[in-house]
Amino acid sequence: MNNNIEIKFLSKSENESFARTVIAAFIAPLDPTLEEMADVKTAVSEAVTNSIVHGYASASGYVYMDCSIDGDTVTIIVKDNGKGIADIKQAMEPLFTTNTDGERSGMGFTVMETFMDTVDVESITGVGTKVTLTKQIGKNRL
Amino acid sequence: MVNFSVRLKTLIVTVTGDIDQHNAASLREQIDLRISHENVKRLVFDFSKLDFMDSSGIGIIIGRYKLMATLGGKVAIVVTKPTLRKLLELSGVQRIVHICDSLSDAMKAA
Repeated sequence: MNNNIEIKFLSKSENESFARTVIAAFIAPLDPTLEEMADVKTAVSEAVTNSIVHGYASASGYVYMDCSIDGDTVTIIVKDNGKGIADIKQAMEPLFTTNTDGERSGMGFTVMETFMDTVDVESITGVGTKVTLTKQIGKNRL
Repeated sequence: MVNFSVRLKTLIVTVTGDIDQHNAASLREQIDLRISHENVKRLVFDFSKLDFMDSSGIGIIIGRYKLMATLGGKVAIVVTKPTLRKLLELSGVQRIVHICDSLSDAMKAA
């Protein structure tokens, strides 16, 4: 199966649930297990939240989501034109957060890495961040 | 959506729907208000009817653990969904709060 969708939405926190609903509907034809579905929704929620909270912070901008299915593998690219990540290695460390007063747990990238097969992060300070997530659906199926 | 009940000096916080960054602040405020109003010694999060949670929920749990610790209280969480359990264990919160399969177990553990 091959498919692709592209959406963009404003960096408003109410769009986090919209992004989860979109990805859930998009991967449904792959017949994921409940756990696989929850894994993908959680990873997307983390990536989109990062763009909204860290990429744009108090500013407003668009978050772009490019979702593809190639065979049984889903690829999701979450991109923003926000402030970028100065130190990607540090940002991906568990419990690291720049948000010290909002009870952010600093677990976003760790969650993405655990729930997806691959996570790739590209970022340029002042230009934006692009997170690419992939997961093969149904690999534990008999 | 959040519902509160108090039983045996334990505040039971039942959350349905989703927990994400969008509703985390409001949820946090509602819980903290209840903790300050009720003379409770323990806090139980009942997530058995929760549809979705991302790492925003971890921040809420750790924050409420710290708050309850200052009051000399404990925290337990009821979790039935595998992905939610995986998320909680990944964060390491099981080192500071009890993760339970049922409300009755959580009432004993907290």
